[in-house]
Amino acid sequence: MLGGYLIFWAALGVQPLDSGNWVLASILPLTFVGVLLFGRRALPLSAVSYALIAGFLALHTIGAHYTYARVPMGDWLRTALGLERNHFDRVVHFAFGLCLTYPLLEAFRRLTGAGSGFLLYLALMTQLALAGVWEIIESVVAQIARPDLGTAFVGAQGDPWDAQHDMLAATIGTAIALLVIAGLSWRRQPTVTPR
Amino acid sequence: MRARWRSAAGRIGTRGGAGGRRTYLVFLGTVFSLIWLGLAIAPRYRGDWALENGLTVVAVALLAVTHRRIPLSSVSYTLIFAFLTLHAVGAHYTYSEVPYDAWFASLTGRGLNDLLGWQRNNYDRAVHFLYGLLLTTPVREAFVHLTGFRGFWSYFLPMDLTMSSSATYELIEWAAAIVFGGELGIAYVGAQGDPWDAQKDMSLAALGALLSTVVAALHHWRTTSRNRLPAGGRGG
Repeated sequence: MLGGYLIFWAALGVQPLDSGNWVLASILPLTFVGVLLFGRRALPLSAVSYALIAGFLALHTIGAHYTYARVPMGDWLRTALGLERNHFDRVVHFAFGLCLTYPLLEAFRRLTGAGSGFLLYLALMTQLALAGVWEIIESVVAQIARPDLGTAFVGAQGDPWDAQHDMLAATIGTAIALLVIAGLSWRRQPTVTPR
Repeated sequence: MRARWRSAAGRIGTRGGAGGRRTYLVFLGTVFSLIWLGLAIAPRYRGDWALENGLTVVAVALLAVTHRRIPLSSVSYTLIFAFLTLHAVGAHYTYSEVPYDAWFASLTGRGLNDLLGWQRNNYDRAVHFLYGLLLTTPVREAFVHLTGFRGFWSYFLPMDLTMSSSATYELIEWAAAIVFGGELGIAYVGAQGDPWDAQKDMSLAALGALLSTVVAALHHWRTTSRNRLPAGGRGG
């Protein structure tokens, strides 16, 4: 799976639309993959988790290749639904919540050994905090790299509420993931329902 | 709301027991009620005052409901009191119009904004920072009480909650701006034209929480190392 992702990443690393942006956007996934590799002894996750992470990183890599605001799928969505902007970034924010909540929950379960109600709370709060941190990182990078571009650098595409929309997309993704997880574990094992 | 706070504080007072802390809690509750009432008279913008006080109602109700199951230290209640008082001041004047600049000028002869080269009213930023700085300690106490976690998780959880709640707060501000729109929406968000308003607000809350967490961790480290080496005497 790791090999597959690296090949996919390398393929999309060939001729990105904006190589500066690609390098910037590739730092985080590479760090993340590095942490997973070094952490797999101390904190092994399930195959489902690794698959979800790979799925999310694949989406992010597509975004990095085309420079988020110009991803063809988003352009297609914009024409099909008559939207004002390319919403591929929102799709990936949503996927962040949807795909990464389960791995996070699993990691928290192993690390804290807490009950499932508390774990659901912890995963929700952490995902929200991370969504906020992501917006902060974006804004810091934008203000250092291109202060003249303002919010255009972070792909806001003229949306004054870009940060809020992004965070809401991540929150909805997380909420859906948690409902699915809670539903599945309740069906499998009635004792682990959220309290 | 004040009645709930008062009755809650009153109940603690009449229960007696280790009197000092409870008397202090009644004292804090009374002082806050008086300040709050004073600032409820003729606020600059009644609509914004009402919106801002939604948070106060929730906070005071939460304290009233949980004070017995999750008793906090006097320090924590003082920090919460300080934060809610600053928030009441922001609600009275409307955050973006709190006249700290004029107050500072009448004391020193020069405006604070002028001195620091600020272009906007930064009272809201200060309170976002203090949200993290002041409230992380009570939140940590509540978490330790509820979960029994020690070490890393007892520091991680309050930071986690501070950062996620300040992200949620930005979402609430945005929702209120959309729902109420116009002048009230603008007053409530209080961005004053800053395109990075949400990010700066969240950063300051996170910074406040981080500082408070580092202080708590250092304090804990000092106390435990002193206990481990009773004869060593780390001093001061």
